[in-house]
Amino acid sequence: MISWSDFPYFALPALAFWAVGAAFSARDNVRHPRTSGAALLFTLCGIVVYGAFIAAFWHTLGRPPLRTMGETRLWYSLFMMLSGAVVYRCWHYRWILGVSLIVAAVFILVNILRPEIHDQSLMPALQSLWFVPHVTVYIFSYSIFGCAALMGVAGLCKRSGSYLPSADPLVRIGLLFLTLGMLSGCVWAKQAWGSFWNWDPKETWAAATWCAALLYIHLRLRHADRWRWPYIWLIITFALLQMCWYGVNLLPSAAASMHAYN
Amino acid sequence: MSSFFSFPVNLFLGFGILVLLWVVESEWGQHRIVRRLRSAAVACWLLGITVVWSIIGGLVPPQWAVDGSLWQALGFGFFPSSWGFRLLIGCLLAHLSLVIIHRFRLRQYRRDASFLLLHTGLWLALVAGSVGTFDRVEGRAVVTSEAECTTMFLRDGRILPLGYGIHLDAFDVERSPADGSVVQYTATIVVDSVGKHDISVNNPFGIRWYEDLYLTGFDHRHDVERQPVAIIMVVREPWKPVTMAGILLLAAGMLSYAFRRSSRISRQSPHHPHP
Repeated sequence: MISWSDFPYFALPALAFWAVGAAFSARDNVRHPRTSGAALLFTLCGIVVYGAFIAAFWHTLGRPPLRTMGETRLWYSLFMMLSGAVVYRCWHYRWILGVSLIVAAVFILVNILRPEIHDQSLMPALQSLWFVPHVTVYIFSYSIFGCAALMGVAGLCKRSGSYLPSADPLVRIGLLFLTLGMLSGCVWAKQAWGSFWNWDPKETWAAATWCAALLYIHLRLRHADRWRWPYIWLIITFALLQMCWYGVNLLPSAAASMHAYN
Repeated sequence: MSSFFSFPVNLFLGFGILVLLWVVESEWGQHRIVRRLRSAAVACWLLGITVVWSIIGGLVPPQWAVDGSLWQALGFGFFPSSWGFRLLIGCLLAHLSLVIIHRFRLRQYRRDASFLLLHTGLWLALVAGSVGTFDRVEGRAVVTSEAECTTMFLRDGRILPLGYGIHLDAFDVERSPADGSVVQYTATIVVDSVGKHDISVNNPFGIRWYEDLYLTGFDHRHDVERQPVAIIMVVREPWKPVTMAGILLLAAGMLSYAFRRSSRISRQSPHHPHP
């Protein structure tokens, strides 16, 4: 019988596997082709260890562990590393496993250090199979746009377009996850509230963010040789993401939001 | 439902505009004005205006946007239903239509697959979300175990027949043992000619391809002395399959775009390390 008290015995070894995987991926280059294989192997080992806890916990509970805040944070970390491994396998970004590890570790540490949230019930609207994929892919896109915004700042400081070829694939991946998050949210909203899109404050900021990311791609298509405005739009997109994520909660309109789960 | 633009007017009007744009694209597709209208520059402007409009709409406090206020007059009351925003969506749809028709007429489907999937998906979702709203009906039905409910109340106070009868068979509320808060609630409803079905939050019942029943609330006092009362939201949305098709195409297009080995931007960019 697996319970929350057993969580650190699975989570800490998984974190160790992922840290070794991230270290190997950071050394990934053409002279060391085996490092990428080792990075993926260690990451997958961590996923198996962590997934074993979820599977055993699921069996003990007799229901999917998706009902409380602590239970959903289990899935964030798993999906974070899974998405990171897929992106690393496809594009070999050396930093991606490290960034994924940091986000996953934050959620794991919250679960270890704040055991009171384990039994904090989710409200009925959040008890859905869409909850974890919707939130996880959004958070993953936030981390990717964070990296792209850093490149924007670096490019503006250096007054050079040399960062744009690296920012372009990042925005493509970030936009993919942002779009999947938005579309999964649409389907979930239809299931929970009866409407695909309600122009709720959070959805309004999500639309602004998505259009800003699309605008970056169209700017690059329009003038591939100009660098100032693309960099500025990378930073604007990241600022809009912050508004969408938590900034919207500080606005007066948040009180009437369907996304207020207090 | 009672709007002038509801079915079939919206369908005929939309089809007419689409045919007009097809004629414009096929007859004057190389004219500089038409090329300009479907250019990335116009896409940038339209997206930029959408971003700015959404930011203003997201910042305006709801108490500023009451009827008769300056914000309402400027079109920021509830900005998605304002004339300005509808015009913006109309321009986006016209731009997308020209771009899609142009790419379809080039007949390079394999090369343009992700482009066509993405833009067609967005076009379908926008059409269903704008033109399709005129056909959407949303009402509330108060369902009890004592009498069969055959009508629903609309937001404007009108009453519409459901076309079938519903009554409540059972109602279950699951509460947290820690603080007594509601964790989940489920209603077992009996619908004429369909039978018994459980509905709860996130688990609606699709009674017809375009009509779903949602459990949105209940009488909190029912478990003390009163009979259970469930509030059922009835949504009729004939454009639902179009929206779903748009979502699927958009997701497929985005996946195909993100996993492409080399993008047009990369090939054009002078900063690209492998020109």
